[in-house]
Amino acid sequence: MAVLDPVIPKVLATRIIPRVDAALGAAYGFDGRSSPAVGLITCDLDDALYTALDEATKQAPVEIVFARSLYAGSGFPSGPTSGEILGIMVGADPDDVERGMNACIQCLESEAHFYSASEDGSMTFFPHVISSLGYYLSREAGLEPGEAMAYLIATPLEAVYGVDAALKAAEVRLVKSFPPPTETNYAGAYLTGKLEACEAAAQAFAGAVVDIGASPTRML
Amino acid sequence: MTTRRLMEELQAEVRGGGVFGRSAPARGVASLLPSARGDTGGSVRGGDASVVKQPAPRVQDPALLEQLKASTPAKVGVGRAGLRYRTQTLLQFLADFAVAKAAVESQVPEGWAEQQGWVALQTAAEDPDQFLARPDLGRRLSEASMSVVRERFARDPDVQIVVADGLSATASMQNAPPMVQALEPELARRGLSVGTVAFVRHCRAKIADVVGQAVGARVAMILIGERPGLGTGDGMSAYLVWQPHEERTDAEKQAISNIHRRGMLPEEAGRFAARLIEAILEQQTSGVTLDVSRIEVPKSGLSAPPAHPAGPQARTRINQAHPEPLAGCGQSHGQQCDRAQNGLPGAVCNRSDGRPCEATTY
Repeated sequence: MAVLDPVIPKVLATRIIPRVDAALGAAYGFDGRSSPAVGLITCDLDDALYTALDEATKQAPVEIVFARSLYAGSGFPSGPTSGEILGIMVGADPDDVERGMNACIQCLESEAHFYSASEDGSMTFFPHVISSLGYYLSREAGLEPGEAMAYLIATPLEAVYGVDAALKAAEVRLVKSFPPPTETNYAGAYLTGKLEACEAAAQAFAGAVVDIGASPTRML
Repeated sequence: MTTRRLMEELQAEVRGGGVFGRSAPARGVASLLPSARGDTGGSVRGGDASVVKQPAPRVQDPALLEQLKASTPAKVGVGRAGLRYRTQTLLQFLADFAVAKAAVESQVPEGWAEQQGWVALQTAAEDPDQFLARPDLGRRLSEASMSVVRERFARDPDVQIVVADGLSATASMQNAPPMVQALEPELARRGLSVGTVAFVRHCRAKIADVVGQAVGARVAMILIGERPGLGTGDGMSAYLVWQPHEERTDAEKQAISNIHRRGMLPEEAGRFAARLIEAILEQQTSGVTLDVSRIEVPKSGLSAPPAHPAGPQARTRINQAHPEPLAGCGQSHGQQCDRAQNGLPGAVCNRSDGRPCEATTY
């Protein structure tokens, strides 16, 4: 693995429940009676799956009702299929959910990748540009569906340094910040602006993270 | 794939900069970073402004844009769905393309020429397919037709008129009869003789030279259906030439283009052609060497604004009844309400919760 090579997420487990139990639905924060079909997915990279779940809302009439990162991250999972995130989407029909799941998996395979910040791949980060937000992440970010967003995540110090670089690199604004500690101890932020500005911001973020990966203990 | 592309660009930059130093970032990476003083410029790479693309220009005057869009059937300002056309644009494109194809495939029915009082001829092209595949055959008369011209056509006329189907029989059938009817009295008034009017099937513009030379005309004129454009299959042109013979080049031809109901009206084109013929005979030349500066050009034609309020080529768009996808259909992601997309008049998407409609993926 070389610096800035993609790290492709692994889907670890998937299931569709055609008609979920109403009480269970309530426990996970959605109405089990009106949206009976449920899709479950785990993945070894949380931010990639958040992005892919958002993509699913663009391609199928599904809603993301639950998506949470798991403690300690994919290096220390509770089991081989735990990864670092569980996502749940619901739809009116099992076919809708299947379409949403396929869109999600497709996005993980082709688009929502982490990148290596070091030669050995031990340090990874997520400098992702979403050209057009779906219904899930737009809600999480407080933006409108269709807006562009830079989804910037890295290890703690790199995230602070990188987001600062990104904000100064282009006409973007900070929408939401994720200071450490988090479940996986990654940190980062959502930035928004025009697509071109988000792209410039993501590149600046990546440049900053890679710089720290190459020489961590300088001052300036 | 936008992020992947960005990272690959960056990767190439990093590799170009060599190995990272311990005391200072390598040149390649350093140039990626904003300066410590907080550079807020739009550039990522040390002042290379080309890296950050300029956003698309915003419309400053929406009314002007609407005016421009209304003035042309071309698909401008139609928006997009993701990287693709919107469905209504695609449907309009297919419909317009079908108009063009239908025009090319249209044929003049048997007996039509005789009804106009014209003599029907045919080129060496035997059928429509061969005509399209072999342009050279469309520039020669068949043996039988050539002997008809030699035996039955009036000799040495001032003007030889040839009507041709060209690439749109529809255009010729619509526009050639009124134009010839307008032209003949104008020529008679000027004391000019008109030869036997020919209609030639599977015909290209060159046939004017062939027939004109065979009868020894002073001026030959061909009225020919033009190659259709997208959605416009009814345009006819007239080409006039002084002393027709087979070596005449296009530069020696006088053209009147866009003869159709939304362009220059065929009646006006007939009168305009008479003025041109008069000038050609007077100056004894045609084409680029002809001085047309004193010839009156019809108002609705070449340079004047259109007489028709809707603009020269405005047509009803397929989706006039439902021009814009409705809010709440998730259309910014290429997911529009499929009823709205199909543009059925009166079909309205009822969803207003910002969620995609149910039958939307394709």
